[in-house]
Amino acid sequence: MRVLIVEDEAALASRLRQVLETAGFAVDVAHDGEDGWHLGDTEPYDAVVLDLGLPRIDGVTILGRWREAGRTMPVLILTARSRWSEKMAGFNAGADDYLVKPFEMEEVIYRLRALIRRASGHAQPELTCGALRLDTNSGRINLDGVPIQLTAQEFRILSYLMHHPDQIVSRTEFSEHVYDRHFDLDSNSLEVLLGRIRKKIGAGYIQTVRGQGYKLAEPEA
Amino acid sequence: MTGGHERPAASLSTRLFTGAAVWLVLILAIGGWVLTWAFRDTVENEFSRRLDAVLRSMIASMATTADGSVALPHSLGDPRFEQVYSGWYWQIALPDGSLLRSRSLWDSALHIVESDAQPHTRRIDGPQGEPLLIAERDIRLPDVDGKIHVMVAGPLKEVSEGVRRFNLLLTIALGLLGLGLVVAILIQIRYGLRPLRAMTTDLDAVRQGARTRLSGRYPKEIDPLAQAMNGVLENDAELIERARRHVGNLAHGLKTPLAVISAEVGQAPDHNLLREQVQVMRRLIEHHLGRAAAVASAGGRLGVVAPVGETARNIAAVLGKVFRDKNLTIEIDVDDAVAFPGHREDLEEILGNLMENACKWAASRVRVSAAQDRDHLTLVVEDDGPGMPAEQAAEASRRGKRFDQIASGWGLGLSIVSDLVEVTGGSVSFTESPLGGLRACVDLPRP
Repeated sequence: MRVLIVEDEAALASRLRQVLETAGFAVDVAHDGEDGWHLGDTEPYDAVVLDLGLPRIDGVTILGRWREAGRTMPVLILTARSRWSEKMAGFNAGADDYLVKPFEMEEVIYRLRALIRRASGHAQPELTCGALRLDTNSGRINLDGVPIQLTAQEFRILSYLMHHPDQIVSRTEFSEHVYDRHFDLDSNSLEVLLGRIRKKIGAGYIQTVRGQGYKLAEPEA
Repeated sequence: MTGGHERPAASLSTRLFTGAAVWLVLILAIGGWVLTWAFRDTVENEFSRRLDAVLRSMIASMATTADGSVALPHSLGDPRFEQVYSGWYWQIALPDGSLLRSRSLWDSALHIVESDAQPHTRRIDGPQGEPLLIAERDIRLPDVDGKIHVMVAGPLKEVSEGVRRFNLLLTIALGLLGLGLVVAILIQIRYGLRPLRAMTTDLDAVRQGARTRLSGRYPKEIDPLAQAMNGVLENDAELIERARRHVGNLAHGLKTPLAVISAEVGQAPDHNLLREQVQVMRRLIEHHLGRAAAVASAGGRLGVVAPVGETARNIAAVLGKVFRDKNLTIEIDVDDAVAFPGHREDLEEILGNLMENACKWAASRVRVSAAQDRDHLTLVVEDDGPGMPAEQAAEASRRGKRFDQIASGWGLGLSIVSDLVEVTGGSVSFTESPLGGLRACVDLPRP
């Protein structure tokens, strides 16, 4: 899952990046409004963490522009402004959730996971595919109730597939949603990663659709 | 208004009235005295002229009889000279010392004082001791040797009687005049001081927040005062606004570094202690920020209303988004006519915090209802969650109590609501809802 953080306070931005990466997200950071707006407008993020008090363009304006341009990714607003009238302004501009500073890092992760899960059409916090089970609250994947040990990259790929079951996910989609924009994914390394995942969960779950991409499906018995 | 306010000096009305009353009494007294004096003078002159006329006609009709004595051939025509001790007397003293007297004198005589002045009036005491005015003259008759002294007297009582009647009438007339003038003065004072009373009313409106400045048209004597007052008010409002902005900037400015600290403490060895302190700081910031906003919006509230139903529905839409996973039913049971007496932001703050809290605890249902009568607006937010223990609810309902101190875990929101409602003169109470959870009831006075 790839998220954008738009936050002008450098220390907070880098801490957020660190925490979110640890939690299994691919993270891009923008430090001012213009940069943030541009990235959100051009890159396909699964969610955005948006500070409202930004230099150059403020958060509510950015959000309004994205929504006007038809960008529908879930947006979590971070702000120091705690009055309900200010929250309403954020929601009216198209925010999906709202956190008032100072906040707990766990809360950001929890809310982001919920937003992403709902955006891909899942109402329940647990995503399942056969014996595979992803708890979006804790960010753990179990197979038959046993936790699977995955590296960060492996987790992102499998988690993305579990959010979009029975859909063909192309190589481009992987590179857009699983890696940040500075990462150059080559075809071999994706094959290698998928191979490792198959080894851990069994070969039946991830199918290769020739010429198109990959698909997660319940293995036929 | 409070503290060192001293007793006000004597009222302007009293001053003006006392001043006017003093000159009024003086003028009436002097006028009365002059009029009485002039009247008495006129009446006395008239009286003495009458006596003089009688004297002349007496002298004209006096004749010497054949035996050489003097006689009045006929009475003077006025019956009062015949009536004993009537006060009207005449007396003729002949050179030989004999007296001719009016019948009214009976057996007494008028006292004769030798005098050179001719003719002459003077006052003497009559036979009954009553004051008399006398006209007298010495004449000579051709057949009689020596001077004949002729006197006519009339009672001064008639003069003083006239004067007394005049005085009575004068007193009544002047009294009525004085009364009329007092009424006129009172009316004038009221009319004259009306702009000041208008200013007081205006200032009261400013104090109650209905207006931000004195807006009436004032006469040019007190207009500078009104302008100066407006200057002070504007300056005041600006100071408050600036202070509020500073509080806001400080509070919001502190939150981002606090967020950084909060993010960093995850790594620290004592992170629970540090995290707790960050939470305390956050609560303090929110509390004082909420208070500053509440106090600032307390002014200029009169005449401002916000629709309760629409606001509640907007908030419900937002909360439905935030709590999507809980699949809550948020019922808004509010008549469209129900209006909150204040700014929309304050209503959003009150309803938003109460409804968010309800959504947080609810199992499946949240109900918002409102009712208003002439001088009260009641907002009720209920949920079907676990509710609050009775004693905690009672404690929380107690006004002025810091909510976040007594009900930790129930969120900062309720404390902000308490502060806001308290500033507007209302009250918040918490009881058990028929739905099973907490029932928060906000009671607000309508102006």
